[in-house]
Amino acid sequence: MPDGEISVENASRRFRVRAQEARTLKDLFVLRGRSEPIDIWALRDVSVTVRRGDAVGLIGRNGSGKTTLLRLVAGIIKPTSGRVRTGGRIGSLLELGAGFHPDFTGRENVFLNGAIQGLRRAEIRERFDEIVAFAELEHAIDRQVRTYSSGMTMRLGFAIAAFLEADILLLDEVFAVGDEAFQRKCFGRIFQFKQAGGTIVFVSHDAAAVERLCERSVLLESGRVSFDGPTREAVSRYRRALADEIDPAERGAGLREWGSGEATIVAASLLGGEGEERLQFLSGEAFVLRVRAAAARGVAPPRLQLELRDDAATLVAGESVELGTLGWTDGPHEQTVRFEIGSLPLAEGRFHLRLGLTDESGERLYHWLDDALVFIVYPGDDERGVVRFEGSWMIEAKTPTP
Amino acid sequence: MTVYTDLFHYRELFGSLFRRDLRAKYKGSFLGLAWTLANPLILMAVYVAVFSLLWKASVANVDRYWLFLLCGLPAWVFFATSLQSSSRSLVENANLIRKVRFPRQLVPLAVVGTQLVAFVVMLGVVMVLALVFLPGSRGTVWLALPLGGLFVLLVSGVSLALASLNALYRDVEHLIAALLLPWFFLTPVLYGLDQLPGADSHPELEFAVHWLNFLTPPIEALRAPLFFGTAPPAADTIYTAVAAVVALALGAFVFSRSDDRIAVEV
Repeated sequence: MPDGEISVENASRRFRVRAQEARTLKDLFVLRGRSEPIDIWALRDVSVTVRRGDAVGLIGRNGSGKTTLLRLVAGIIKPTSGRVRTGGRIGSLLELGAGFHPDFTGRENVFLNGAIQGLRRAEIRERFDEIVAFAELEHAIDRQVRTYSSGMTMRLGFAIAAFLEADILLLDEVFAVGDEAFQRKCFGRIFQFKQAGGTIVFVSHDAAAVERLCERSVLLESGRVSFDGPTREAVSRYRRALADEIDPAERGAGLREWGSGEATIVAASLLGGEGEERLQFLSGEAFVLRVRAAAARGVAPPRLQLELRDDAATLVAGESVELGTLGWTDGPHEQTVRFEIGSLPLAEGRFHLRLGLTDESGERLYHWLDDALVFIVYPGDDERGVVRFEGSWMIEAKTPTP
Repeated sequence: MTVYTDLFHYRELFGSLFRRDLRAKYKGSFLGLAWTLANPLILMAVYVAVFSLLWKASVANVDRYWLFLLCGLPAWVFFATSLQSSSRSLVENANLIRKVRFPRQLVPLAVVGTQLVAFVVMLGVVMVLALVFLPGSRGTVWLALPLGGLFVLLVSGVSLALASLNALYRDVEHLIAALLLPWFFLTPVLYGLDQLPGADSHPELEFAVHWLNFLTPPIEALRAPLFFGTAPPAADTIYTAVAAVVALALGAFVFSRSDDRIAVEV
């Protein structure tokens, strides 16, 4: 197998699980024949070929087999049937700092961990200064790792793996490393590795990170490859699959609310262009938010607040309106407020709407609903990212050249 | 066979693991590595003090009982400590084994390596004592080295097999802990098999202690050149060599059969 290539042919991996696992000899003899082992196929008939220099994303839900596939490629476990072949040195960042010994200094751990990852001592010595500088641990490298913060440990773990000069780099959800500046640095390092012709297999829940790094992605569903192609398409298929699965009851289950209760949000719904209730929209479609609210007698017209966040809890938009200006009438009855958007300016993803009722000044909280509504936006044609631009392209009229 | 040839290919990693285990054991202690030497010496001193000086135990036809005792002790201590520490080794390194690919058999073998240091110290001390106190042994003491080497192979194989099994069934290590003490008394360390007072009335018992306990032949073989100044008995020597080969094969077999499951189950 040429360096940097990965070939997975019809690989399946079974895990034997017993209702009560035989962890002791007693269990082994007593349970023998009594509890039938259950076979769980973490991967079924998976074939993937990765050429040198490719960056391939693995996406799928929890339990879809991503990590199993990564461990097969890393050689940590073997396929039950089928074949997995790889060429060259594999650097695996399945867990940063795995195998660090807390009683040893950072320096000693660099050598130990490097050796475990397959480096010779001379090679580690050559790269030692670079590794320490990258991890920004010059001042702490001779201290015991037990005195490190978790961020420092992970930085050191990443730095060792990053300087392995592997042919293939396996990454499993590793971008939770340190602060944002360090994350950018890690990403930069990985990008550099890719530019230099290294092969990357990247597992992440963070679709944006996969899109930045990988042109191609494999979507796994219950252990099978359900899509293998451009990352954009894989990600949007993945989102669609997630959306189809969301149980209507789940909306209520995640509901969190608090507040003093003088005014309450009674109900909230989203409507499509035809006035029908929906939770899935196409980018650019008409979109209506309808909120039914009630206030006790004597409560001044409240202010309605809304916050829109994406799956990563980033604030996408925030709005508020004084209901008094809309003609809110004082009284113990319920009133319905509508918020209409002619063309939804969101591109794609899952969004969470948080609604709140406060007094006019915004200081007193009457009622606050987290995840009041969760909805999905599918890209209409070419949109990517979170936001959809409303704009038009044109070619400027030619100015005559003098 | 790659189970053991990897030891050569990955000798640097083996060295790193070995140093880690050796130093981790005494990390933070004042004497540090000196404990590796102090432990076996203290143990030997205690055995001599209790069994020879206080108890005045003796064995038929043996003058220096204390040295007789010391000649059998290193092999037993090496065996017992290796089994105990290596059986836990794969489980203790679970974090590493689940996340990184490397030849996993190096983990228990490196642990045996750390115990080997103490074995070498003890055997060295015994050889020196034999040279000093037993003029009759001066020509044969060196034979302890090849025999000791065979014994190391035997212990390595058994340790690898038990470490692999313990990764799958956690009470192997407890079973070992429970068996070691009775096993000690069934092994002729404190006594010799020659002219045992009860051997005539219970020949089958003596036979069992000699040939069913695979530790007896190597210990008998080691004691012959060290203490008695004779060549090791042929039967014991052949037994030891065969046992070493069988143990290595068994270790490799059990390990290869369970290697894949180890990564899943530890």
